[in-house]
Amino acid sequence: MQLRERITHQHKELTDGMLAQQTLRGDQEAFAQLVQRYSNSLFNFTYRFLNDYDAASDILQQVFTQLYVSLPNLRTGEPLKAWLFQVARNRCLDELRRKRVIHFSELQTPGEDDELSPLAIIPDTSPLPEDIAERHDLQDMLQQAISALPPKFRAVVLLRYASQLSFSEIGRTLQMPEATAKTYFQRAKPLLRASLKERLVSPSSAN
Amino acid sequence: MQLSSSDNVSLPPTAESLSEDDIDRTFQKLQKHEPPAGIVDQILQRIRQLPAEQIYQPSTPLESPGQKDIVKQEK
Repeated sequence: MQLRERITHQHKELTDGMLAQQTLRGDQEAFAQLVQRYSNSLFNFTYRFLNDYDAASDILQQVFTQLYVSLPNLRTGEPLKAWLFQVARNRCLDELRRKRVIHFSELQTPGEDDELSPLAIIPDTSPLPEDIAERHDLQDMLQQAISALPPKFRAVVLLRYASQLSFSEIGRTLQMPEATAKTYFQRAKPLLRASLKERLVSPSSAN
Repeated sequence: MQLSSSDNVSLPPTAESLSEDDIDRTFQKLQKHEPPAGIVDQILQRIRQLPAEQIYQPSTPLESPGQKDIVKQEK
């Protein structure tokens, strides 16, 4: 094994904290390993959140640049995952705000009955069509359903489905109790279901 | 997603518990996307463009606040 490969292999066995320490000692390969460790899951989160490939790529670079600059002040005794996704989420919200897609009031912590559309209030218990998984435009429908969610639900859903975070990790990332994260996730599901059903019934009018 | 009287949405006659397994199964098929090729190099390039004082050097002393929480490397 070449020396560079051996160093990279050794880096993969190190914790986030150890890689952070080495980065602070001038080891950019250690930082590259941190980037590789989290770039896929972070990119999936930002891409799905914004539905914009270029914006997601730019935000990914911003997040890791911020990580690099912030390393001396981070509690690197714990995995960096929650911090990274938190920064990514905030950058995504900034981007949505910049595009004037959301209003400030949508970013505030809601009351118990906020963010419920009529479709969510009306229960829909019919099973999804058998062939839903076979539709060639499934990915588009899923993305549209996610994009239609309020930002705070969108973040929880994406952290769960796209990035496979546990509810405990989601809570730490979004700075909310784990129970709240679960509640948001459960409340998002009827909205996703209704959105998918709407697109299956009348795809053109749903957009 | 506002309903109107002209919408032709089929709704069940009775309220029952929602099948959330359907939602889970469907969204777990969410396609994974790869970040742009060379993203690691692009990020490192961005780091190297930071002001010199922000780029960590081998001689950079570890005296900043928060260092006490860093896991000590095993010897």
